[in-house]
Amino acid sequence: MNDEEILNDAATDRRGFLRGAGLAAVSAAMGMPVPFAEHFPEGLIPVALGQDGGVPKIPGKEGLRLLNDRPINAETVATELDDDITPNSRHFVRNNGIMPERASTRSLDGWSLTIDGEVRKALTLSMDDLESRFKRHEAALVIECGGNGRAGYNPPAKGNQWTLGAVGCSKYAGVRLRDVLNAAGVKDSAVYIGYESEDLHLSRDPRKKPISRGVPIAKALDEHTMLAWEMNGEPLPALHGFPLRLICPGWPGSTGGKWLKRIWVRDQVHDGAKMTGTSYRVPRYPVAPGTDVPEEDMEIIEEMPVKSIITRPASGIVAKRSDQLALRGHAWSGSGDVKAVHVSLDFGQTWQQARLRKPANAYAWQRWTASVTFPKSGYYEVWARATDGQGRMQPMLVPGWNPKGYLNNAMQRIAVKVV
Amino acid sequence: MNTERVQSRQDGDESATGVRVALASECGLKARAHEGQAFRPVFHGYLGMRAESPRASCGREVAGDLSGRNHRRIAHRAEALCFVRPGLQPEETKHRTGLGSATPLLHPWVGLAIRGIVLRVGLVAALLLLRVCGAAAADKPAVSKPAVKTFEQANKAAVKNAKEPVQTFMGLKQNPGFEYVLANCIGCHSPRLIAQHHLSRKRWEETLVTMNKKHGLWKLSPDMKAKILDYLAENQGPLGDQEFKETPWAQPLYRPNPIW
Repeated sequence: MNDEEILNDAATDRRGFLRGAGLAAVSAAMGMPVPFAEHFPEGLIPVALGQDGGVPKIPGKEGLRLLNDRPINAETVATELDDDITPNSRHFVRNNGIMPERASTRSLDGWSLTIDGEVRKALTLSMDDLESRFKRHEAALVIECGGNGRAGYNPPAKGNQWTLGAVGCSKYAGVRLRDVLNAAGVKDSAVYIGYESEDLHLSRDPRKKPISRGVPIAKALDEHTMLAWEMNGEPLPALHGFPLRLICPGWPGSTGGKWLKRIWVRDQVHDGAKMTGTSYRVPRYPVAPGTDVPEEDMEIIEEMPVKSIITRPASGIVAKRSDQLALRGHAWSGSGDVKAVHVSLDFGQTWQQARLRKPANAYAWQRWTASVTFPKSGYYEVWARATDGQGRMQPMLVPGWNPKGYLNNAMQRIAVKVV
Repeated sequence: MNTERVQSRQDGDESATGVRVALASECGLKARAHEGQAFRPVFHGYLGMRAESPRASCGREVAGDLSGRNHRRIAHRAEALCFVRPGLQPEETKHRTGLGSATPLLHPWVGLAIRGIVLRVGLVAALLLLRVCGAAAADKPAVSKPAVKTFEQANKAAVKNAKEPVQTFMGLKQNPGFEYVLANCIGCHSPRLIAQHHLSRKRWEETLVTMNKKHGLWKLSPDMKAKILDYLAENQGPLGDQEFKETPWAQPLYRPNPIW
């Protein structure tokens, strides 16, 4: 199935009418021609016909909020992120283009991974080569979209309006990228790596790439950077990059290409799609909200900031005054070390330290728990704040505004009514 | 029930005098303005008060959630709170709510400037009026017909007059210009990508340039470009609380309530 078909099924399940309706029927029903109707998923209800009655759901992705269906972008609501290891069904999806056919047919025919560029010996590896020639590596890793929290910026920033849920921590298996790079022999001239993938640009123009990003060679050779073919014990799901993806832990999710087919070792900073301009870049200096920042003053995002979420309880809960309220969630940081999590019930005047569990491995998120009581009835907000190894904390307000709305690690606040 | 009388104008045009909006006093402040930029209420009876938000929260609701079952309810509520005009023609009602067909609006900056002036002038005028009329002003409508007696009546009238909400297509309002967006923009990406964004006209224009330069959008004629931008600016413009774009310090940078 391709992207559209996946959504299709969901939509036709949702409402039976117009199942399989032809183009003409759709146009007639809408009372107007539908340009590009051929690109409409067949059988998908033109939502115009209801009052946009609902958003199609992605099968196998319960608890996700769909932001966009072409390309597919969906985030997980905070309470659905409670698991220590995010199940595949609850991992957010950020696609930039159209998924390759292979992801749906799950065929490895004609697939290989190429390592070339600034290496002594270019490699072409099959999946069997990867599995047999290199040491297996497993790790639970946080992947977070660089734009997670974008919806909090004002003036609004362009891009998917992620709130809290463009993050997940699943368990991946594969090999370390550095083992593969070392097998090819990285030359001293290597500066950066760039990935290339099989997904198609939305315009279906084969000369365009939806996304081709990368990381400096030092990060590529870091022991935690990996090529993964398994997610939570299963072959990578189609939406998550079957058959192979790159993961650069602690860095924006976009640095880890899905549907991978090539790692290109570069002698310059990689200049593929979404590496240049304003993509995944923030101003070199703090700017006032709404500022037009010249492109040359934008720098590539590397490490993600420290962050936490509150997964229990849900915002808006009514609690009894007599009860102890159990709070829990996760904390993580781009440098892979969270030192502490604190919670406040009084709008940040006083803080109490939460219990913080050690991570399953470096760059996995850490469980925090706290138990609180409320002094009297009324409206409370629970704020949660993580601190990383260097003492950097989550800000209370949305941090530095930037044109594309990246890196919002403001504290999450939930409302609690105490009766 | 306490009511407050609000006199409103349309683009400063006195022909709209006589418009009456009855507001419950507790929602008066919130409902002092609304989504439709061409409709600017001037307030009587609020002395020494600073305009907190030139766009009412109810206006924002209308703009913010046009989807699903809530639509009608919100539309009704918005009408009740902000836009009630007894005897108002349905078409006008529709326009007032910002739900209906797009009518040409002022450029947002001009709108802002005018709104600022109107609010200030309004407060001064209100002060003077109250001085002149004394307490009687509160008991008698400033303009006699067609006056609304109570908030409940206003609400009832609004519900009765409410139009079917504008239909949306994958989040996009089917207002004039919608067809140009369909024809040019959704060949590659979903309408939902557009619907997620609330940008100024300038930022929308930049987006069209990017789409043309990087993502395969054909060259648009100036006329077509203007039509698309008209639609986007009108239907996908910044939301109510995002209006103080150039003076962000005037507004908190975090959301007013923990909605997440």
